[in-house]
Amino acid sequence: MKPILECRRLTKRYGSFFALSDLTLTLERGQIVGLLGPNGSGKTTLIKLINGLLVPTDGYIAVDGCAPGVETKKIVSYLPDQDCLGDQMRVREAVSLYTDFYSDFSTERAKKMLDALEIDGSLRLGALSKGTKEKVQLILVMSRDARLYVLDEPIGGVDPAARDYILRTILTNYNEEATVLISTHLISDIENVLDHVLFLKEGRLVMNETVDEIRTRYGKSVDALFREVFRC
Amino acid sequence: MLGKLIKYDLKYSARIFLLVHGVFLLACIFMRLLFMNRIDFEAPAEKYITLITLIMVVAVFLLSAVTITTALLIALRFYRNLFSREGYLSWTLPASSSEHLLAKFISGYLIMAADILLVAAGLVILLTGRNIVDAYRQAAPELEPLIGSTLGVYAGKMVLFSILFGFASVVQIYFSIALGQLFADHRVLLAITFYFLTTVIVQILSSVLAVITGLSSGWFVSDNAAFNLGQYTDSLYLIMGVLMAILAVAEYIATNYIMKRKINLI
Amino acid sequence: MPWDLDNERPIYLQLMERIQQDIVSGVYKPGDKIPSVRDLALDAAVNPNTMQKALSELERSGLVYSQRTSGRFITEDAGMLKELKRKLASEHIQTFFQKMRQLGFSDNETLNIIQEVIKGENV
Repeated sequence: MKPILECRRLTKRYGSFFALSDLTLTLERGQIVGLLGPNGSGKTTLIKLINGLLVPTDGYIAVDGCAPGVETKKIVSYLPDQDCLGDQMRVREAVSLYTDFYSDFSTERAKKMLDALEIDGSLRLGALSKGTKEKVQLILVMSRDARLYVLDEPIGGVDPAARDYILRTILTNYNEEATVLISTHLISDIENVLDHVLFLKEGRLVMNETVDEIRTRYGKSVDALFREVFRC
Repeated sequence: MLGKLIKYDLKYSARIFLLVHGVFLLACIFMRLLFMNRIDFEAPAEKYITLITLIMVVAVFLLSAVTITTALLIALRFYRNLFSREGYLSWTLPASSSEHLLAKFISGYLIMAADILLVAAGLVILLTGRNIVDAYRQAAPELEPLIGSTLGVYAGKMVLFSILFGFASVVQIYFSIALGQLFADHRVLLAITFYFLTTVIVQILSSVLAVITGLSSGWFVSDNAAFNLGQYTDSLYLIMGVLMAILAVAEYIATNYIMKRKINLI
Repeated sequence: MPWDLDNERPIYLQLMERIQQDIVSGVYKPGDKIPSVRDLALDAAVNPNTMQKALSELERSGLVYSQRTSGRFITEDAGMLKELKRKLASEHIQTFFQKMRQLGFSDNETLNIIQEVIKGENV
């Protein structure tokens, strides 16, 4: 079976600025992977390349053996780092949009989660608070039975209770054969749910290890190691 | 997939489109009942000339507002759905870039065609009162030889032409926006600039073509009493039509290429 | 009850310790069925693969056993449970003595203090 994500010497350049350089990486199935790095280290660039929102300058990228395109979009569930649902759309319309377009979307699961949060389907998204809107978006993304979930900063800027809710939602809903790639700069909050971490620094991959390997080898948490690697 | 994309495009524009066109049609009905129907064309011209001028100014203003709103709706949907933050969702739907463009093209064209038909309907409502029809009958023997057909047929041709080549305007809007996306900054401003640039180019090209084909000089220079405005506009439409069609095809291909190869959402 | 994982040591080790603790303290009784990996992982808010690894290690030590279809169970081997209890007890005592030594007490002095404290409590 092909790896769920494979990058070889992947490079994205804007003018003379390398947002990502020479990234070589393979992700296996059935893992939760942390994509860690400070702001501007290339996390979002890599995520956009996976989703075909950017065209690579150089190198190779494949999801389940295919270049990003219609086929990979069917199996990748993506949570952008910004809100991508129009404000004038109602919650229930957002659900039917996902139902219409993604054959792996479980309407029932989404409805259950929305009910649990007591979110009224007839509300317009613009009327929801920022936190609630983020939850709605996460619920939509996690209601798909995707093979690769790509979550860009799902826990950025939310309160601790919401953070717990988000992590639980991810853990409860992902399928065990699926891979979840989570980007964040708040490592200590999610360290325990990760199998594997990738450190990006200035567009380069500087570490690719399992969390327990790091703890065994360095005798410290990933968070502490991260702070050392990226000390200003 | 294509059908679903079109469905969501149309749904997005439906509310504002219906509102604006509803208001326009109501205004036409209103103006006809309250003003147009009361004009007595048998009376001396100076008695009604002010009123009819005023009505025409208002009608042209409303018509332009409605048409510009429609064009803006089409442009906004294309831009917002594909190139703003909503693009993060649109581009990760399992649809190819060609499908996205085709869907936008079909939905945009349907909206544009509906707009033209409704605007035409509004004008028909405004201008077909008994008093006007009677007044036209008196003028018809002079007018019809000049335009080569009845006024109805002449206007019908204009509407048909607008609908047929409405697709060129839709493509021009999309092309300008897509072109703007190739730049790092000021993408919207550049899109607007490109739109006006292409409009100017189309006009220059059509003038040049008109000169080459002798359309602009030939007809007027001839003292021939048989000058026929109908034939003149028919030929003009044909030339403009062919030119716009060729440009539209080129722009469509270019837009498709940009969307396929050069998508770089910021 | 929260799992209170610390940040330095490998997570799977901490999960193993915690489950051993639960077995010894009677949260799980001999022969009890353990919740599924997924439920345990959710409860501890850890990665299911890490929980899986912890349970596999416990299985290797014999403390839990799995039945192909019905899940994982706590061993009913009383000897083994007793052994585990002793092992955990001696670990605790060793850390305790270590700390007392750091405070400057010899092991005998420590024992005396313990006896005094116990008497004090009985009064």
